Amino acid sequence: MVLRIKWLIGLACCVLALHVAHFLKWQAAADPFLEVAAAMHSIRPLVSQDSLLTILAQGVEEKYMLYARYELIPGKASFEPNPQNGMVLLLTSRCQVAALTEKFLQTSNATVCWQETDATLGFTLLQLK
Amino acid sequence: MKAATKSSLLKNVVAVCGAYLWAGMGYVVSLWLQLSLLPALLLTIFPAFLWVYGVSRFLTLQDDAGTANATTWQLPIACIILTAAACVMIKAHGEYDAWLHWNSLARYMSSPSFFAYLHQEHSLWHADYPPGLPAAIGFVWRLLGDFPEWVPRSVSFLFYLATVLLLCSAAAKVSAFPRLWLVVLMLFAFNFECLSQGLNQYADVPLSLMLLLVFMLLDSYKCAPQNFQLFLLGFFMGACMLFKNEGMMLAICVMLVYARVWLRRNRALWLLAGLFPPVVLLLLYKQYIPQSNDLLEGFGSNFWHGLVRPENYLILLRRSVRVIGGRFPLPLLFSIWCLWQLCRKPHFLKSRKLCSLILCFGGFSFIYLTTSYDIVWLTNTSFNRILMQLLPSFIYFLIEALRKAYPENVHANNHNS
Repeated sequence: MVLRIKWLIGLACCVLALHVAHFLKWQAAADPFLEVAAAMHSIRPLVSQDSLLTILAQGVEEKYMLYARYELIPGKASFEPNPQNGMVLLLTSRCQVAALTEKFLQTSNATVCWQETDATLGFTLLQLK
Repeated sequence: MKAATKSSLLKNVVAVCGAYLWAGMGYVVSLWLQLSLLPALLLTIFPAFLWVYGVSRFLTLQDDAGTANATTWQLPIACIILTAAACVMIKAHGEYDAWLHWNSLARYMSSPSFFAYLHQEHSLWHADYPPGLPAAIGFVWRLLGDFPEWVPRSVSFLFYLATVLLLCSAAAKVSAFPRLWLVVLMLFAFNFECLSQGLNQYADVPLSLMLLLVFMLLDSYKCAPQNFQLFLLGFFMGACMLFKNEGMMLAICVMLVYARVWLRRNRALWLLAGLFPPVVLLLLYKQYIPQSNDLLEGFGSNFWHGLVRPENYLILLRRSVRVIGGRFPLPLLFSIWCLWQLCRKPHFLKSRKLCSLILCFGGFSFIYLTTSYDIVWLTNTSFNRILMQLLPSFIYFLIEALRKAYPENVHANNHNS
């Protein structure tokens, strides 16, 4: 066999060391991601996979991308509200949240019965009729 | 204990990288066919296994005499130093491109239903990126039923490690400079730009490894021509295309510049046979994705206009000086030292190899000259990564040139005198 066990074990040790280092750094990092992630986790159960409509533009703040890395579900271009509660989440950048929410409402022709925008974190949770 | 020579390491890397690609290609086909997990598993594992068997059975590489135990201890040391440097340098949150583009694409490939979304317009920013890197990651994620980030990070680091180990093992064969392997290791372990790209799962490092394999196999083929090596050469050129959009341009440049090698020996059919699987898959994939290729978009319309604009060349030159000097200081110093050593040997200046390499890299720079994007913006955002794609091959070229310019017996004679 072309592959040798001792090399595979050695490489596995290298990769393991790397992940231990990453984990330690991840633990030590006090970053806004945790705040965002905590907020997003609290609303996550409200939002079904298909209704997570993301508007991630170039230049968006890093922490939203960090959130997206962990939680983002590959989404459809066309959205479907959560069938149980009609919820749609718009995840966007902080500075664009109002403009993009308005644009979304105009283009989708959706009727909103409840909406909450968090400009600090950069998302809007909508409940559609 | 049998020594881990350059050839056996090269053979291992060829086996593993090829298996990774075959697994990815098989998995993409299974996604198209919307297969359930078990048939998808078979379609993914079987070609990879067949590839490893084929490489171990049929590939014979040229191994230089007298260097049999050149790398028994250097390579483990290289692994340890590189890992230590990586542990220090790794970022807690990774990098933007890695998860925004490549990991997102891998998540689309982690289930047939997600994959179907790629059909749609605006499904994903840069859905046009080729599937070579993310497909196998998506497959592992599908098996795990989760999307742990250690998978792509491990893949990325292993590609980087393989690249540096191959270069170190090649450098360990230059008997005139016994510490050259250590210098090469330092270039990649202590240059932030190299390490950060190797750690953060950009596709640039895998592409650079594919290109390096092409050049290494090319050297081996020239020493001892074998049809299977031509097949591998074609396959890894196709792999360049399957890893990144730029890889298409790169592979075409290499193919044209070295056309005399495949055409002279009248064995182009083997090369094409190797090229066929990745290229066909890539063409089908591109057909399947509605987004246009960002690299090729506007390519034709801007081709001549971009080529005849002198400002473009000046921008490229200025950017090259700034990026090479600012971000790759160690490789730059190493290159200057190598070239100084080589220029003392007049036959190096007559070598056609340097011209071929310059032609390859020069041809590759056409992606900037002919782009439909703003060239200033494009060079600002990607020139460092393009250099990283080419750097290992260039370092390999310098190492091989040094090895040929300073053969062992000459060094021994000098030493004795």
